[in-house]
Amino acid sequence: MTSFLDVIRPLTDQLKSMSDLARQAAQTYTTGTTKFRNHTNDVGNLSSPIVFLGKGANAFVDAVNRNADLSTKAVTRLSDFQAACDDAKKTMEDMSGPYDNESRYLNNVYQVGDFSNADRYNTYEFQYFLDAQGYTTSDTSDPRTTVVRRIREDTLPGLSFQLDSLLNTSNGQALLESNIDSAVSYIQSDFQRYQAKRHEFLDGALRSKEISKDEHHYYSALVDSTYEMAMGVVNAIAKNMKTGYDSWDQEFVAAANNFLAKVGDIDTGKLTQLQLYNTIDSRFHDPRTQALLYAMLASPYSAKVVQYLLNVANCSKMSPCGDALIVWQDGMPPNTGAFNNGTVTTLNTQDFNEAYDPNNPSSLATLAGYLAHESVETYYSRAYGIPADTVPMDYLADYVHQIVSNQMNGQPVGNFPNYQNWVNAPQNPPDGSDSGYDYVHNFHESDNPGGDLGEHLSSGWWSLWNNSNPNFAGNPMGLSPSLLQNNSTLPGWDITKCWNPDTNSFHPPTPQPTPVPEPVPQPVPQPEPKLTPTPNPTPNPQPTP
Amino acid sequence: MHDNSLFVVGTISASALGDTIAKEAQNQWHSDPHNLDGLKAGLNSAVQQLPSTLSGTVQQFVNDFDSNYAALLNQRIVIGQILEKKVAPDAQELDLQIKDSFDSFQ
Repeated sequence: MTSFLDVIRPLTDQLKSMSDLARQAAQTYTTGTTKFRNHTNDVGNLSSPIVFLGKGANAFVDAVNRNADLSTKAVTRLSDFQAACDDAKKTMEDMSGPYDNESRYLNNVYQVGDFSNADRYNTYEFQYFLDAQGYTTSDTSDPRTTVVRRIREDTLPGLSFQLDSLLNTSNGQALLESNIDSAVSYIQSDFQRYQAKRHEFLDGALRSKEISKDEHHYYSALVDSTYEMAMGVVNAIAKNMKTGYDSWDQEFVAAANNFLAKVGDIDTGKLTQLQLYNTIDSRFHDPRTQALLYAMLASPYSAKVVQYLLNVANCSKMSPCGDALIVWQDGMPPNTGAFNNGTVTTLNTQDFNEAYDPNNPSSLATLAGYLAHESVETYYSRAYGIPADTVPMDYLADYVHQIVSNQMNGQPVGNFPNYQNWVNAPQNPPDGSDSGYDYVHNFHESDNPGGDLGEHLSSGWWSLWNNSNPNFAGNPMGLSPSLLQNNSTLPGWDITKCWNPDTNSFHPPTPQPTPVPEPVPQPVPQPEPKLTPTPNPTPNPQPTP
Repeated sequence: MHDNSLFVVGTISASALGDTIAKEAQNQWHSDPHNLDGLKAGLNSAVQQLPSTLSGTVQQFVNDFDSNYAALLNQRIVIGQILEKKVAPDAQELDLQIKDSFDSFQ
């Protein structure tokens, strides 16, 4: 007899398989991690020690312990996964067993009597359940169970191939009820054949004058009434089975959803984030900077900005580095933005104090936008010596601000004005979009991406300066001078055309034909400290047509 | 001034310690990536046979675990390789190597 356990066996088998794999791996990795930690840390305790001194030794031990700590977390999550598999398997098996109990489908279904006398012209209800379906009294003491078994055998075996439908509540119930309806129709056909057979028997008896016309009428009516009674029992059982199957399916869906929730909550992806937290803590020690960078890790492009800042803050490779790169200034009015000197970014303490909510990572979205704006500028300054105080630079940096702020607020990146509209926009555009008004009219920035010194240059101007290093700090933000160049060469330039929302990255614009630059003196521009005006923090994204 | 509380200055050559560590590295650190490959292959095979309702989430878990643990194992191999050189690097060199190994997969 096919059981509900048989239906879900394709799933429970795989749950067991995954559990076994995870359990074995967790044991292996736990042993390995313990050995790794103990063995390497015991190096200094060996009877034959080694000259491993000072900073190097500490870095080594720190690295080993950090690795072992993270490995332990990873193994714990593997064990959590194994537990989720075990729990789901057990829940699904435990919930299925009771539904195999045939008696639960006979509740409130009246009994079918097995009384019969020697009158062979009589038709009894139980005959439909036994004779009509090929069962005998040796098969079951309760004729009703023949219907339960028929329906089970006509429905359950095929369900194991349709687990996806069963795991969708509405589809599952429709599938189950449809299957039961089909099974009932097969039973009804058998009953109808038996009914016809009994009528033929009585007709033959009448023709051979074994029974009278009145007796024929009586016995024929009995054939039909017992058929109706038998089908009444079948339909009552079918109704119970639909209810039972639906209930089983609901429990099955709940168990699967519980499993999905548990696996989803394991969230191993945070391991990488934990390592980033460690790196943030080791390179930036101001709690405000740490809080801001933690919050920025949660969104796609701002995480790239954080990676840039971590790379550029690596004191083993960069100078200046670490805390010297992000400083906080007291006494500035709120919402006055941020500024940089080409290397060091200064943020407004007041902005942090007013915005920061430790329970709401998006509370720092605007401040993160400022930091992203300055990070774009310091990248160009340090990678190419391109000055920050140009209108094209601020056009790009403001767009990055919008990307970062909107993503941290859980909003789409949204539209952004093209260069011409942005430059010519009023200070506070009515539609809430960003504006370059302050950069043009208040800061009088150059509209040449190379700044005033680069006005006579065209394509390739950045490469003429010293220390051109496109891969500066790994360039995780994916920036290139071409993103600035097109601002001036194409007045209608639309920076959003270089943004790929699927990958959360920039791609370079199509190069424009440009004349060969003339040689010029190569002074290294010294970026002037400049204030970034407050852009409209989160321009309302306009609906995409 | 050096902090030598964890690694004692002694008389044995670095190569003797290196032999011990290298053996351990070969036996264990280098076998774990293979174990991880086996685990991933086994889990992926199971995922393929799961109802699609469940397979996406489980596949995500498998991929996340694999990438994270592979990164940790790679880090161990870097640490093991430092030891396997059988020459104790000076403090500054070791410090940089360790830091670089962490930077490499961030």
